[in-house]
Amino acid sequence: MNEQTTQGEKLSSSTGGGVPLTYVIALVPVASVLNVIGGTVAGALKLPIFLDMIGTAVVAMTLGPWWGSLVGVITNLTMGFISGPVSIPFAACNVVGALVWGYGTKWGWANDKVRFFGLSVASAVAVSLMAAPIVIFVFGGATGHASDVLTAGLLAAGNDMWAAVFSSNIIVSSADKILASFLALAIIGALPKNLQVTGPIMKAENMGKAVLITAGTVVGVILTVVSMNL
Amino acid sequence: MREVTSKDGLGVGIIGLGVMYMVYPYASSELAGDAAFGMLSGLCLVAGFLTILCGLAVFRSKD
Repeated sequence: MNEQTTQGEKLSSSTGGGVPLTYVIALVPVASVLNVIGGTVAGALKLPIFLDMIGTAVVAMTLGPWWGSLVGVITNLTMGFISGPVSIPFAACNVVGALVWGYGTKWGWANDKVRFFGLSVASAVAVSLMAAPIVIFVFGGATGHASDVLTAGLLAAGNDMWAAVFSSNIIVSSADKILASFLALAIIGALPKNLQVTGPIMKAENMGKAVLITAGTVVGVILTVVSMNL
Repeated sequence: MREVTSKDGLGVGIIGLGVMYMVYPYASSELAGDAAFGMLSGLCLVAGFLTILCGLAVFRSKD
């Protein structure tokens, strides 16, 4: 009976039954702060990743894509007022990432490890497709991020601006989004299951291989950027 | 207890985008000073794309 009730709550939630407003009011600001802290730490340590979308992934996958978008906008506007307006135009990237994670979860891409990895890569591609025009149109090709070293290297190798910016962005973004997705999965594991309204999300268990792949990708990107910097 | 649905999420997300667009002129003038026009036009392209996505989401969302 108790199990039936829990299952019923889960189903009502995943079919649009909704979650308590207090839960949303608690989760959205916490996720935004998590993003701001991650982004600030990555910026301060000059890491070739962003770390400013972990909270966005958590909210998009649990509450839905548009709540995730709100977290993304709050994050980048807050970072804009803390560390300068460079991050404000990139709010659009955070929004696009939230939409991919949210709708991907809704469509069942967060169900198993392979699909979830695919969802992470899809979010990286979508974010890069949004970031490349911003980097070129708004900043002329460089933003001062550590990934600019890659862009410069690719430009020096004879690529045109669009190819260089998109290639460097997709490399850095892949590492960042895969890391963010799996960290978000670990956080989601600690949240109440009946409040996940977006769709079924796999459990963060027996993730040894996934952790190794994630760590390998991140270390690979960092080594690539460091070696291009030498 | 009041519950929020996906419709509320969509509404709040669109409001968030509206706030983002309103901050764009500030960002472009801070970053580019007098030469803000080019930057603002690039941002408007991005904003337009996201607004189209919003419209599609509203169009496809169920009551």
